Amino acid sequence: MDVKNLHTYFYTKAGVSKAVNGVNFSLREGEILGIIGESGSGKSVAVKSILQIVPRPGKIAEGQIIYRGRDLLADKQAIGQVRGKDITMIFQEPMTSLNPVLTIGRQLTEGIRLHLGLSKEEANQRACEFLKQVKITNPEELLTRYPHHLSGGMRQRVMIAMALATDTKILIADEATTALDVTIQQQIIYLLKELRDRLHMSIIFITHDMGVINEIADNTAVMYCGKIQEYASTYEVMKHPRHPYTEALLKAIPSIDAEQQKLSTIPGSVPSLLALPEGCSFSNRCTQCTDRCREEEPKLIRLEDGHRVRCWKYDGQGEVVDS
Amino acid sequence: MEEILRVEKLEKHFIKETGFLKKEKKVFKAVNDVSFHINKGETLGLVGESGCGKSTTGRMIVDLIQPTSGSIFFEGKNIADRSRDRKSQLEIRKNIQMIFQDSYASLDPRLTAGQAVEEALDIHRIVTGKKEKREYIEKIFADVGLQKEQIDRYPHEFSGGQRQRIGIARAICLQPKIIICDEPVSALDVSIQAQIINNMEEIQKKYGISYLFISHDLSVVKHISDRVIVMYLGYIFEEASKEELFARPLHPYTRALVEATPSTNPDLPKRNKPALKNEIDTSLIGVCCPFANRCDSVSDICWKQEPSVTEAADGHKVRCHLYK
Repeated sequence: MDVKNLHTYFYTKAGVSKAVNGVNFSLREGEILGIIGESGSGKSVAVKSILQIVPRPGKIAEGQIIYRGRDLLADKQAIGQVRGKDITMIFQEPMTSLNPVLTIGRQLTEGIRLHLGLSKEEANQRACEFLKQVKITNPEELLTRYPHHLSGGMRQRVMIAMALATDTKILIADEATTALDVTIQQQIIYLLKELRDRLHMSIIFITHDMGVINEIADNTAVMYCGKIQEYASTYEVMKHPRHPYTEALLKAIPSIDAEQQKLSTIPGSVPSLLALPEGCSFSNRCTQCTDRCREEEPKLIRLEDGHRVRCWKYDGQGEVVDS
Repeated sequence: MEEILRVEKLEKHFIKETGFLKKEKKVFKAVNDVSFHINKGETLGLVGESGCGKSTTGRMIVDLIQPTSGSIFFEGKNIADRSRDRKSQLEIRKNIQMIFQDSYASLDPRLTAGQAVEEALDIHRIVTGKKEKREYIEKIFADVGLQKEQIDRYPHEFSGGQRQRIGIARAICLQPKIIICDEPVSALDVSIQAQIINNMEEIQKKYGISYLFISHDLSVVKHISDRVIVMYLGYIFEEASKEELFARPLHPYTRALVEATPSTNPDLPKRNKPALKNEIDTSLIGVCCPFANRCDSVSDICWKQEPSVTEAADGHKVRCHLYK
């Protein structure tokens, strides 16, 4: 899948809020792409734009989303055929995605029966197989349960099973482990990695947690104010962060395996999308900010080692890849 | 070091009435046999996953929940028995304050930031006189990193991090000796989280306040605490100084928790399986070791008998059959 020059704007009374402002990335088969950013960075809106489920008054203003040769934004029929089938999404709170008055079995088999035309017994059997794949030990019993009977981790497993049931190619996980306890979060991370290895599906994993990104993602995009500020392999982003924002973010996290006397902080807070600073959107918080940063917006540059970064510090050191 | 708060054998059992005409009673043991102490000016970290009773413990100390049994000694006096007069109640509340996770829910939307602080000052008669109060509030606001101009603004005009600063201002304005911090930074973005943690550390140094820092995030607890308690399903599993706990975690649960906490170090080798299997099972409380269904060092005795606390090293306590 290729996302090209995606712009999603929210048309509010106070003005146009450019939540996603020119995002480009591509996703290969079997790749886990991590998107990291603070609240309001546009990471969630970006992936909701892929499925065209951006809540009002948000609208996709521009861009292309190419999946298997078809542009999902231009081809009106395409999205209906892939949404919930080839491309599925799981959310932070699975309780809101599950119907509280229907049993797990009913909800899981609904899609299977619809798409494959199986009888109830056959569909139940298929559902059990998928539940086993997500490491649920007693699938038959679980089918008769209601969502509120399950723990948060179990519900998230059921959501993943639903995605598997439609033979999904791309799974979008929007803060899917944020509400879970760390030990359960780790179980889900390993489950997703294992499913990727076995089924070769691609995953877009959105989170605000650098540690989680480090555990799961192959490549990482760092978002800030609606734009990708840095993109590289996860190892590179963690080991040699190039953008001052990524660098500052990594230093602000208390670490489990290092001693820090005082946490370094990023001054100020994320600017309102209605009142972005001129030039670079991070300029008002950046410690390495120059006059040029305040006036002119930097472009995304691909450095020699393939690392992409949007910062004037690297001007002339590589090829400009987008505006 | 001088001890300021001691909790002994604290228990909380919630009773839920179920069945026809609520004739059946189900008892849920949320906090069991919890004992610890906090020294003057130190931070005691209380870490555990959801449902481990960490918040209930904090709330019992500030008198938001009545304990089922056990004692809470504040400066040597038992305050768990709350049948005292209003004057001594006020005195205890002034000295033991609380900061909550959801700063928006804990502020009255119709009071300005200044009024929220003033309300507490009036109840406890810390400062009187209009001008004196204003000056005092300005001083407190400076301590928590807020501007003078922000005193007359309403909660919705602040960002999440700033609201948490108001929460801190309201707690410290009474010059308390202990603050119970219940997940104070969990809802904040990392860049803001670091600002609040640094601010809390500065305030502690300046006023010598003790913190009970409740969090599910082991990295944050490791950063801010002097000593750490690990809780699981209402029991304290391990207690040690921060250095000791992270260098030599004894309880299998503590070890798993350390391993499960995502690290930002890309050079660490990736594990090939999760640190813990299964999920918490509340039916094990009071029957055997509540961790038996997830533990990888489990043996027969763990399924038969509840473990008791052993002091494995000086100040390092662990509740596990392995260290009998």
